[in-house]
This record gives sequence, structure tokens and C-alpha cells, in this order.
Amino acid sequence: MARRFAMAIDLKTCVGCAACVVACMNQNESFGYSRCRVTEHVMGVYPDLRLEIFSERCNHCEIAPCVPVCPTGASHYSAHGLVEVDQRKCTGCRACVAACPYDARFPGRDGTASKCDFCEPLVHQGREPACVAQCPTRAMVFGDVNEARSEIRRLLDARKARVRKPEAGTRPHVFYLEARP
Amino acid sequence: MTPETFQLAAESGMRCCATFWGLDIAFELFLAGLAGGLMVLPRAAQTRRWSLAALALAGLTLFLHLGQKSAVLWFYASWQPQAPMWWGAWLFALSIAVLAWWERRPNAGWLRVAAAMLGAGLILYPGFMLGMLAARPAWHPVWTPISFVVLSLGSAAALLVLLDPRFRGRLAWSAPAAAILAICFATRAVILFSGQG
Amino acid sequence: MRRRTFLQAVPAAALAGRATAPGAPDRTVDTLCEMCFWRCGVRASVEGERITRLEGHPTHPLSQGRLCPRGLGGTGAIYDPDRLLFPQVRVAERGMERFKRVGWDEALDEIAARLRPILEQHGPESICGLVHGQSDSHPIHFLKALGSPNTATPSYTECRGPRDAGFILTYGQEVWSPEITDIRNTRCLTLIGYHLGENMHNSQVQEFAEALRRGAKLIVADPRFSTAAGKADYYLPVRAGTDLALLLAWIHIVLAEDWIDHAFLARYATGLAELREAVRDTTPAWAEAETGIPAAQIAETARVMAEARPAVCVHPGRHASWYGDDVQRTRAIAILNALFGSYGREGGFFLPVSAKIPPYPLPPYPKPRKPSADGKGTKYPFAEKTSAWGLVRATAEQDVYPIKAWIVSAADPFHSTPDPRLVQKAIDRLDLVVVVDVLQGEIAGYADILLPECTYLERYDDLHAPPGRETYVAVRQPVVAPLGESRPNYEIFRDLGLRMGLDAFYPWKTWEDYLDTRLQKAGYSLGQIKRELHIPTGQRTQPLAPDHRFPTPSGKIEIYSAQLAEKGFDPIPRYTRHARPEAGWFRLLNGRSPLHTFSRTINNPALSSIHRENDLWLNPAAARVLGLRHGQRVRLTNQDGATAGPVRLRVTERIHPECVYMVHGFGHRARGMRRARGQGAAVADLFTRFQIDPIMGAAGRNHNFVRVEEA
Repeated sequence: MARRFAMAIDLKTCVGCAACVVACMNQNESFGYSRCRVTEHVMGVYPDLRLEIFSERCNHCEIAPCVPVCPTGASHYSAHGLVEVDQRKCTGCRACVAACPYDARFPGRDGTASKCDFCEPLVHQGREPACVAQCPTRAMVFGDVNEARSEIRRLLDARKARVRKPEAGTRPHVFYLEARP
Repeated sequence: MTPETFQLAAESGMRCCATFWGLDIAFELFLAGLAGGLMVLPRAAQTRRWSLAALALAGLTLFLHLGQKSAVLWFYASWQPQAPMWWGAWLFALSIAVLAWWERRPNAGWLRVAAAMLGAGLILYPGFMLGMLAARPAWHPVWTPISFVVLSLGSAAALLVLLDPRFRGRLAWSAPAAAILAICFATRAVILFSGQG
Repeated sequence: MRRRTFLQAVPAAALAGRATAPGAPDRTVDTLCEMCFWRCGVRASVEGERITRLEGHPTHPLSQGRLCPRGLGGTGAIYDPDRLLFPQVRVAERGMERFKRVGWDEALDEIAARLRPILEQHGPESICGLVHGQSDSHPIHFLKALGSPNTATPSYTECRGPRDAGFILTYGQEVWSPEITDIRNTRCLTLIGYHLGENMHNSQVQEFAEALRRGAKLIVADPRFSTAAGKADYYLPVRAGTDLALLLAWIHIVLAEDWIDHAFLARYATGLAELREAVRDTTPAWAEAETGIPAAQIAETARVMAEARPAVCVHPGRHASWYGDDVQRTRAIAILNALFGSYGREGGFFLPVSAKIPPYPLPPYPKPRKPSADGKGTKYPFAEKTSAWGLVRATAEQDVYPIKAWIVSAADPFHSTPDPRLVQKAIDRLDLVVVVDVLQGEIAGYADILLPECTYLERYDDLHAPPGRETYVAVRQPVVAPLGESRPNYEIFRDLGLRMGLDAFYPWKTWEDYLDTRLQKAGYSLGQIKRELHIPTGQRTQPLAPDHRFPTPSGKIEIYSAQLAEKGFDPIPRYTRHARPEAGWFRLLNGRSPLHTFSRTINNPALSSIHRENDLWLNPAAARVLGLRHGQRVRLTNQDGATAGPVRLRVTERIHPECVYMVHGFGHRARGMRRARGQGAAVADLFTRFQIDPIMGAAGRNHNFVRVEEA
């Protein structure tokens, strides 16, 4: 079966420290630019509260709204199902920025559309994405969900998981493992 | 009860609620709609140069907006019929070409028909472009295209009034027309920003 | 680190369209982080002479391949465009922040020339050091060599001191940094006002996550619904300032239900009978009235802890200078742990070991002619270290003996010690203010001579052999050469020491000589440690031996403290109610952001790009009464009329309705901190009310009540 890279983030252990955001800055962009973010959601009334923290990035959706709106075909699916931007073809029109339900895309420093690419250059070397490698709580796991023995496959089989905005029908490949069974 | 939401995000890059299309795009959409409106209205032949100028200015605005201007030709080297912006790029280019040609052959009736068809495209595509984005529910899939058509025709009609020698110097006509023109731009900007931030 | 190997190389063809791959570094250098004071191992990638990336050192015990966001953002510290890069002397009034550039020799000659008459006229004790960080050992050495007893780090009386004093009184040993809490193996972790996860001490947070993954129970008591509270099985919304009531109620139940470890207590502890007597009335119902936590919940959580014993860790926290009775609060934590028999047991507290590296052979320091000016050991009998606040006070009042000079390094009293008016008054009394720092913060604006220290990525420091489960020695080493004319403290203070005739205390030629000499004495070498970063030295923590003697006067865990009784303090913690804010006023609480370390990282271009300004947390019910909206700017005024702000309002359910909360360290005014300036508000500006812990002198600052008004 073809590889299908994905990420699973444990809502139980993620403390929202934003180490992923800084690691991303170091790997991909520069001070002040990052391809991921952390959002916190508070539900309830004091003191009966629930706090959920999401480390968010491009979901590499199976049905990615950013791909069809691209007027030049710069946005496309890679062989491993990742959503990629061909920077040569990208005019920087921001149609994809508008189309992403997750606000995961943004104008990069060179003017072209930028977003998380799961650190493909690192993955290419057999390494983990920078955010995953540095996550202090090891809340993030990256791997091939089509590989039966992979840690991510095992986690997704063993634990309940959800995705951001399932109602958007995009079939994201960043999964969040539920804190409670 | 809606949950409280906070984000930790870099100043640039992936942020919730950043604005991606600003006033320049509102201006471009206004001009394109204005040109499209002029092209479909009965006095299209007389306002040809105005359409051409509006389209040229809109095209220039759009071009200046592009993050990577050197890639602009990829609009025309790609086949992306599912993407409204691809249609927009072709509509711009073809409209300018047709209007310029029509300028040289004012009596060619088929150019008049072509201009009207392209004009219809110009007033339709921006509304669809926004309305089709499920990620931006504020841009309603039906009302956005309809309002864009109305705004386009309204601004074109207002410009016709302003250009008409019969109303020249008659404030009772020109002032409301100018106001409609301004409202058409402002409404467009409001719609554009309502879907962002 | 367990390298995950499931990722095999992806065929290059699959990566079409990706134009750039990150450049391979020319070299990597391993060193120790100092974005906070945990001292994780860092692997720095260098291209040319520029550090391009920092990552966690794969095997260093405190990083284990990972860094916290601050550590990852360390490149922002070295490449901060606002860094001080050359020595300067003041050319206008203090506080005007106007300087002129001078050479190093001129600057150091000037300091020496001005120190000499102060020394002759007033003696060495008139020179104070306010310092922090690992490089503080150099100014401390310099001042001790001069014969001054007055060096202080704000981390004692303004932060961890009460905690450590409470544990020393009970167990004879402090809690240390890194803490000796065995979170990794615990079955129940209790955090009281301690916000792990916002406080990003790397390996401790790693253990915290490990405990959560293993299914350890988590109990969090905090007036603020912290990140940790969001993970908790039990969240106890304790009214601020009433922790001790909660603790005494827990102790009451644990004794009443006989959930104690009898064998452990019989063997190791003393004073159980007196404890039973003292907590007879501290029932859950009584505590409910004080803390606002339902009695049933207090009882339930006591049971959950007891069921996990002895693998239960009631964490003593870290910052503990809050109300002026914090030693007693920590004593109650220490006692509760003793009842559960968790000290020296797996899942509770481990007995730390640390590598013994012989010191560099030096003559003994001259004995100070006078005791330190803060009252250590006299007015505050159980103070182990000098109080930064005490030195500020003694300088402002000049009532102990004359204090005429300050040497300030990496510690800004305007952000760390109360009260800002006192700091100002103290500065006005000084003949000489020397500031050595990386950035030009608030205190730097008052310097007579301002010296540029280089960052941790450009220098060595002394050997690091922290207490822990296993012994090792590690060293910080320069990754790249210092930028501009900045210099490490070991050079600055050696050059100054030689000018002051302290040659006997600076016998080494270079700092490498110093380090190598120490390491050679232990059988290692500088070359080896530079390659390996950390060298394990072979000892491991041992379980508590049956005949273990605690380093207390009785040799036992002192539940009843005869030492305290002798000095007239409560031998067993007793609850006193603190004043509460009246309607319209809120108790000001402060804490930390995972992205910042106090005031020192606020200007960092990487970290501040994510967390640029702090905000004021206010409960929605209180906001409604005040007619304030989320996101608007507000100004704060305390009982004394001290103000702070404007600061953005965060209306959130996550805060107790009687409190407001801000992250500490923001609200810079210094012109030299261009990114940080005017961003958010400084909690320290509002620290005019505080109570000093009579046991060891900590400055508890949670007595400031504020009004919140539209700015």
C-alpha cells in the first residue's frame, strides 16, 4: 500500500507550550514566522471547566479545499497523499489561504503560499518533522498510517481520535488522541 | 455557550483570523465588476474605453497583489477549470484583448457579443469565487454572487449616469450616481472583510 | 533518546516541487542551555560562524533530545538586535539611559578607581552583588574575594527560598533544582499553585507527561485553572492564600482515617503526637469555609493520595514566595509527604546524588568583617542564603551599615524584588552602580558603567554537577565567538579582580585552564567533556536505608520542629487568615508563560514573536460587574496607588472571581529593549505591598489588591 504520512497529537500530554511553533521557526522559516500554532479552548463555567489545547498545522487533508481553488495547479497532492505547493507555479494569489478551513496557509516570506509540509526534507532523510522531534512532552507522533507496525497506526487503533472541523469534510491527517477514553 | 479561544502563534505565518485579501482586492473586484457591468449594459460600445481602463487598472492591481509576480504566466499555462480564479485570469486577459480589438474594429458585431459574454463572466466570477469557499461561511454561496452582480450592474449604471452629457452639471443626478458608485465599492469591501479576521 | 526508525528514506522523485532542503550544518557543538536555569543539554548547528538551530541534546539527562520553546528560541537571544555589544559609561543622570561607548580597559579602570575609595572608606561589605544565572558565580567569587558578605540572587527570597527552608527544617535537605520529585514513577501527583506545563522545566515536564501517560492521578489546587488543571483528575479551586488550610485539612483526614505509613513514621519521623494535637480542629468542613473547596472534595482527594502511597508526590512547587508564611505552608507539604511515607521512596521523592568535582585550589576567602546586611541568620534565623530584597532594603535605608556600590548581573531588581519605589530609593543612595548584562533593561538605565556580557552560547561557565538520580558533570562551552566586544563574566571579573589586587584568587591563565584543572583532579579532562558534554560519574540514587539519618538536629524527619519552637515560631504549621480583597478589588496573582523566563526573554525576537505582551485575566462575572470587555485595554491600581498598564484584558473562566492574573516579566520601559518596550504590564510595578516571612526573609507579594479600570 502507498505510504500515507500523518500526525497524531495526544491531547492528554500536550501542554500547549509552543515548542512546536519555535521548532518550526528554526527549521523552516525565521524569527516571527511559523507554520504551526497552538490554540486553547475553554468550555464551562469556573470551576467546572474543560481545557483543550491543539497544536495545529496543515492537516494534509485527503479532500483538501486548497487544491482545487489553485488557479495554476501549484497546490497539489504528492505521491504520499501530502498536500504540497509547487513554488515555481505559485503566483501568491492567496486563493488557497482563503479556501483553507483551518487557516493553515499563509503568504510566505517569498510571497508564495506557505504552510506545513510535515518537514518533507527531514522526512526524506528518514527523520521526524522538527516539531515532533522537539516536543518536550512527546505528545506528537509522526508516521505512515498505512504501515501496520508504525507507532501512529498502533495509537490510532488503540485510542479514540478526532480531527479538527470534521464537518468540513476534508478528512484531515493530523489526528488528536482523546485525553480520556 | 461558545468556548473561549486563545492562540499562541507567530506574528507571521499560521495564525487564526489573519487578513489575506485587503482593500486592494476590494478595489480590484470593484473595478472588474464595473467593467463587466459596462460591457453588458446597452451603451457598451460608447463606454468601451472606460471598460478597458477599469480592466487594465484592475489587472494591474491584481498583478501587484501577487506574491510571486514572476509566476503570473502560469495562470495561462495551466488547465484549472475548477478554479474560479483561473477563470478570472482568463476573463481579464480575453476581455482586454476583445475590448482592444473592438476599439480597432468598432463595427464588428461579434466583438460586441463577445464583450457582453465576457462582461457577464466578469460580474459573475468574483461572487462565485468567494461564495464557493466553504471555509468562509460569511461569504454565502447564493447571496454573495447575487449581491456581486447587483453591485456590478449598479456601479456600471451609476457611471453611465455620470458620463451622460444630458446629466452633466445636474447635481440631482450626478451626486446620487457618485454615491452609488462609492457604495458599490464600500459594500464590496465590507463583504470581502466580513469573510476574514 | 530512542530514535524512531520507522521512517525509511522516501524516494527523491516523490519530493518534486520542493525547491529547498535545509542546509546541512558545517558543525554541531554541544553545550548547556541558559534560557532558563534548568541547564539542559543543547546541540547547536553552526553554518559558518552563525548558529542556525538549537535542539535538545540526545543523551543529556535534563533534555533527552528535547528542548522547551525557550531553549529552542535561544538563537533569538544571541542574535537579538538590541544586544549590548560594547562597554559604556553614563553621560546623563541615572535613569536617563544615556551612555557613551568606551573601551574595556577604560571601563574596568573606572570601576576599579571608584571601588577603591569605597572599599577604603566603608569596607568590603559596602559593595553588594545582585546576580543571577550560572555566570553569577564569577561576580560572587569576585565579591567574596574582596571580603563582602553581600551577594544575593533573587531566586532565594523572591522565589524558591521558603520551599527550601521548609524542607530543610523537616528533612534537613532542600528540594534542589532540578527538583528531587520522582514524578516519573509517581502514582499520584499533587500540584498546589504549581503550574507545570506553563513552567517549562524540561525534564520535569517530560516526567509529568510520562506520569500522565502512565495514568497517574493528578490533583491540582490553584485559584487559576492552569494548563495542569486542564489535565487534572481533580481540580480544587482553592481561594488564593488559603493553601495551608487545605493542607491542614488533608493532614487532619489522613490522620483521622489512619491513612499514614506507620512503619515509615516510626522509623524515620518525630513529632507525630504533637501533629495530631495541632490538627485536631482543621477539619474539611473548616477548610471548606476558608478555601472554598467543598469538604467532600477535600476528603476525596485525600483518599486518592493515600491510596497511591507511598508513590505519591505532593509537589512542593518552585516559586513559593507568596504570602509571608510560605515556609510554614511548605512545612505542611513536607509533613503530608512524610505521613504518606513518600520521601526517599519510588514515586515520591528520591534521595539526590551529585558528582563531587574538587574545587580549584584557591586561598580561603577573607572572613567578612560584618554579617550580611539582610539579616540572614540573625533577624531571619533560618535563612540559608542572602536576601536580594534585604540588600535592596538595607541599601535604601542605610541603617545596617553603609552600602555604597552595587554590582548587578543578569538580575533586574525592578522586576524581581519589591518594591519598585524602594529599588529607586536604594539606587539614589549608591556611589556606584555597575550593570553587566546582555540587554539594556530597566536597571541598566541606572548604571554608571554598563558592561556587555556575552550570551550563554558564546561562553563557558563553571562545571555543572546537579543533584539528581544519577551523577554527572557537564559544562557549558562556547558555540561561536562572542559578538561585538561582549565578554564572558569570567573574563570581566577576573580583569576587574586583577585591577583590585586580587591576584591570589585568579591564579589560572584562562578559564579553560581553570576547568581543565578541576576536571583533571577528578580524572577527566576539558577535551573529554567538550566532546561528550556530560560525563556520568557513576553514582545512582539509593532507596532510603533502614538506618538513614536525616541531616536534621534529631536525625529524623521533624514533623514537630524543635528548631522553630526554640526561635519562637510555630513548631507545627498553624493557619492564619490573610486579608482578602473587598468588593471591587482583586488579588493580583502572577505566573509564567512557557515561552518566557521572567523579564529576560521578553525582547527575544523568536519568543516575543509568539508571546509579545501579557494580558490580565479576569473572571467574566467580575468583568460584567465592572462593565469591561474582553480585549480592551485596562489599567491597574493597587492599594498604595501604584499603577500598571495599559494591558489587554483577557476575560476568562479560568480565573477565580476574587483574583486577577498576569504573566510576570512584561511591561518593559527601557529604551534599549525595542521589541519589549511598552508591551503589556509589569506585575512588579504593583508590588508595593508584601510580607516578609519571619523565618527566612522571603518577600511574599500576593498581598497587592488591584482595581481594574478602562485605560
